[in-house]
Amino acid sequence: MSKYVKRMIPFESSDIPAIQKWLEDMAMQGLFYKGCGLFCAEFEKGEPRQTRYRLDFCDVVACDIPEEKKEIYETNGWQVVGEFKSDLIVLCTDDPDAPEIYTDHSHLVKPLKKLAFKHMLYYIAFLMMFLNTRIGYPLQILFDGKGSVVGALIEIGTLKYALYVVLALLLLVEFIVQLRRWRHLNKLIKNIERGGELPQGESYKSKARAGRVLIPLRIPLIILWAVHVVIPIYTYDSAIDPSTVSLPVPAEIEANMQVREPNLSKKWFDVYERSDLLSPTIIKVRYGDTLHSQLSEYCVDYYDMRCESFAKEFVEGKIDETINYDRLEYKQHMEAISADERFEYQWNGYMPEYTLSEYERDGAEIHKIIEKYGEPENCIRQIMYIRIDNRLLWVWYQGADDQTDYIDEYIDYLKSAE
Amino acid sequence: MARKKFSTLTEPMFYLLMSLSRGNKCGIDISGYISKKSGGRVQLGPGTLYALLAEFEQEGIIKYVGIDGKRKTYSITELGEKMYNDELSRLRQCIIDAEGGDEDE
Repeated sequence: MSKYVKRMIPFESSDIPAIQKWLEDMAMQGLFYKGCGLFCAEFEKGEPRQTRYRLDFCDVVACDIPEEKKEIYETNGWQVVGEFKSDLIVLCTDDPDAPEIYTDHSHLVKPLKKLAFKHMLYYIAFLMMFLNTRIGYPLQILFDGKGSVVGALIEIGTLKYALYVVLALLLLVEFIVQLRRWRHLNKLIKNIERGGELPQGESYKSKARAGRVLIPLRIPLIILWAVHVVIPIYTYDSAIDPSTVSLPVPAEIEANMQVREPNLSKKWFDVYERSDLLSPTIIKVRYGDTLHSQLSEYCVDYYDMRCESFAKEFVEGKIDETINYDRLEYKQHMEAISADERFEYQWNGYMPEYTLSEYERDGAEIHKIIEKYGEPENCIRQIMYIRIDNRLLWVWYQGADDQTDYIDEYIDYLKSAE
Repeated sequence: MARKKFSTLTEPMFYLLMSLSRGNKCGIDISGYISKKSGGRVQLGPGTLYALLAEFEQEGIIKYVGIDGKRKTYSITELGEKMYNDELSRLRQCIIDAEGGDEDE
């Protein structure tokens, strides 16, 4: 059986009183400090005994302690045990009367200030990393309080995003921990400057618990942050063959798609598919046509949600988001468009109005919203949510056809997807 | 700068300058001298001793004069001598003040 054991170091090197107490407690369990690596300390097994441990600051590179200093430690009854994370020297003695390493605590101020400065750099670095995590937009949707959590997450609800959120939270915790440590060190320095002493025998249990979780995570956290800066957060949709999708196409759109006027119109017909944590299958169909500057557009999203409650919440949230829209935000948005010369559009101050009708048909829950977005009669958009259990279709149409005419085809599509 | 910072010497500082005013010494000798001279009353922990030596050297109060084996030897500078003598005079005056009677008595 090995006479050495390794233990994780649950403290930063700035927690001098806690480290000293921890080493003393380990000695009482028969484990005597020998040295340490990045995360673990090595202890030699022996007979439990009361041993005093003290840490001194390294005043030379890589803790190469001058022989003379070693001699002075020994003259005063202290043995140099080794170094601690390259910042500190570990000393121990069994003599309860050996003089303290620092008989005048004011000499601790300078090295403690250096440590405090280091922690200030740490907390600034973690704050900068936290502020640069790329999770802002979806979180903003959640904090807006509009719509639903499912609705906000469905756009980015990938495992990667979930990881990024965890990353951001851990960076925030690290920032708080480093900030608190910096403040604690500054308090300690002020106390010593007023004639106080470095505390001994400080309780460290809660610090150790936090340290055991956070310290090993630090390096992976920094690496993950660096990776997330270069890898885009969104999972892009992959294009699929439009002929494989059997959704209805409004007659008007279909007719327009046949017209070939390459110089006058721009048409598109795209189908994308992607997967999400909340919805393993999302299919997006986009038909569009600008003919003689008149926009005709038809979009359908199909969601196969993980469970019915997600589908229900998604629909309710989206309806709420649409009908109870932020009027001030809309106004600002339209004013910005009017001010932008590229759009050649002047908003007349008209605020959209919505009419909601809900009913059931052939086992499907149907929610239809008519959006009147301008004063002229034809300024109408039709938005529909058709749900059967955990599957749903979102239809968005701007054009002359009545979408109600296609409801049976939508229901058939949902049923066939079962 | 040094005069202002060390306008009043602490006991360990005073004894350290005292030890060097009696001749050049290394850290161990200084520590031994102080302990012996003060009869063990003034204790200078190794951390404090090293911090003081570095501070005094930086302020030109003492200077490094050579190395004897692995031990660095220091001597007191003129500034150090002056600070030591000023402090000695101040302490003497304190004793005179304390032992002399009050004028209004």
